[in-house]
Amino acid sequence: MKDEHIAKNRNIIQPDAKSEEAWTRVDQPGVQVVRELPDGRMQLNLGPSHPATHGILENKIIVNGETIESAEPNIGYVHRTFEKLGEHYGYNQFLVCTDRMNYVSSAMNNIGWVLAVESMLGIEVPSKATVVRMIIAELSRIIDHIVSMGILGVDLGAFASFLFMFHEREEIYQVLEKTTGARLTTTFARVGGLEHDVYPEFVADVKKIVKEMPKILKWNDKLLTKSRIFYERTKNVSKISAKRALEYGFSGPNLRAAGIPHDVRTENPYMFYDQVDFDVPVGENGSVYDRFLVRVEEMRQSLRIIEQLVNHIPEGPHHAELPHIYLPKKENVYKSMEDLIYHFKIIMHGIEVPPGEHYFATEVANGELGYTIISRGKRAPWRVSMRRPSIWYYQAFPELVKGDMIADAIATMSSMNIIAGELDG
Amino acid sequence: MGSKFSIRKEGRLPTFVSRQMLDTWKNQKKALETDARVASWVTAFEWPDFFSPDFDSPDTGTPREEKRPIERDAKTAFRLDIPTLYVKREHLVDLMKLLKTAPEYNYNFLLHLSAIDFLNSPDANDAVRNNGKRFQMLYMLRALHPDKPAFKGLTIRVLLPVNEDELIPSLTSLWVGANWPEREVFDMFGLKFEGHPDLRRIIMPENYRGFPLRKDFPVGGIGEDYLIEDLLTDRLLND
Repeated sequence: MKDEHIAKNRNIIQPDAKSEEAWTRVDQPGVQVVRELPDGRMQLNLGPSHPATHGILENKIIVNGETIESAEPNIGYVHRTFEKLGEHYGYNQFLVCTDRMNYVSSAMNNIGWVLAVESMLGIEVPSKATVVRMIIAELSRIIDHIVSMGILGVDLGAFASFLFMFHEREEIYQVLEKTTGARLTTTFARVGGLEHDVYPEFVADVKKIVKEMPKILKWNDKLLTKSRIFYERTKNVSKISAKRALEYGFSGPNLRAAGIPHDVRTENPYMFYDQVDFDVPVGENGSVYDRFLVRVEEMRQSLRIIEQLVNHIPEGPHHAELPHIYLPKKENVYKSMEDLIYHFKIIMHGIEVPPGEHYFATEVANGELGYTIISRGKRAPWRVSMRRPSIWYYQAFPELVKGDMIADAIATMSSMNIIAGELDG
Repeated sequence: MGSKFSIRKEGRLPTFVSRQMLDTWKNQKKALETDARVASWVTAFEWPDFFSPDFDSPDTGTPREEKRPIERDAKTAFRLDIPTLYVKREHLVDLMKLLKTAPEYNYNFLLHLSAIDFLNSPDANDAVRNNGKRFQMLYMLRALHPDKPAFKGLTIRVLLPVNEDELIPSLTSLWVGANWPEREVFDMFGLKFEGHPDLRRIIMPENYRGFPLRKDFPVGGIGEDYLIEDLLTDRLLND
């Protein structure tokens, strides 16, 4: 009996050619199975919880020898129905949901959401809030790219670059922690401004990062970009043409690597992106190496943007003077009648947004994140629909890896920067 | 308090709309409204309020802070940011094909695909706008041509009123990327697509009951114990 049980649950299961049904049954989600099919091909489950899938992603791969014949991604393991919650949460409450989408660079999701709501309300925030938002957003972009690139290196067996870059990532995380009070789920932006003012040494700390970071990027160049092994393993792997990438709905670094210089920051500029100088790096053939190079260059451009901004953080308030939208200071709530009333109104009733239908897109680290908000004038939107970049480009995965080796599939998965929390929504 | 940076604004247009975008949009509006084919495919157009000529005041000289009032009492005004077309179900693919390929539109990128449930909407006008149907398919297209500056940043919205029992034409023949978003709409709203290569649930389990993003689905769920029971039954039957 016991032996039978072990035989059933072994990782490698003997071929069972009797019926098609027999092998779909064993194939329960969560059971890692390597299975030989009757014709000698092999079915391999990458994920859902696998060292090569960063996040809970499942991939059923059919291999012939070592060559991938087909792949089938299976998603939904991290689904939390944020769009449904968005219909019940107030506009400021929904911020915490956006944090948990792309949790590698959560500050950017917050900023996209508050920009969308501010655009609906027709309000503007002081320049200080916008400049600080931009600096936080670009720092988040850098840490997102560090994770994506570092993990790509680790998956290909190059740990050193990951180690050096994670040291720098820690420096950035400390700035974020000092600024926002949290490391991962920052919830820093508010409709109408920022949660609170930046701390006094913020400028000095950011300048230190801007100074240190290029050195790490140079090391990274030596360790990965110019490494012969890395180059051979990533060049021309999982290529995609610009036309095909557009048909799939690629955006962000993945689209740019395919050769299309599309960036929401230049196409539909928001915040002050039209007043800072930066270049949009473009790849040639959309391969893993091109995606990697685009990300490296984007980090340099982000540093360039931060450098232009950090010396020009204006004086003044960090939020708009809109008491019916921005929560008053807590100590004033005990002293002033108006502040008490507004505090009560915002906490109990929330912000009321005029009826309308809006779309607002921002360029987050892995693509175009767009919020469609359908408002009917209540404290919660009638419908929130999010354009999550991951779901559009991850569906190209089977096409990208077809004909490649298993190791290439792992490199492809890392280089696409799929964030499970965002993918599943 | 002078800042080096200030929000780019052209008149009273929203921040992400430039005057050039507005000009191209207005040309497209003219082309769409005069096209006989489009007239037979589309039931209604909706244009943002900044399309009207009196909206666009040329007072760019005044400082921004002074001329922008806080729109505190604008609760009744319905605001729309993107040109919108209401299309007939049988002509959805025709319209999309025209918008994608015709050189005057050039909307070659499927930006967003989702659905909206208008059950018990507080706005009585919704039923009128939606032809009395319950759901609305939401398609957003973008003109993504880095080599054509006149089309920079243009977006358009196509809405399709549908009921639960109606088959929606799939857009996978035009954009292969419509595959997963359409599966997500099927998963979350229970709307079915015609001509979709692989219409299965994508996020929820295969044996999930109900469609979570419908307005009559409770936010706390309907009790998911049956999923575990199903799993156990499955195991028992198979073991």
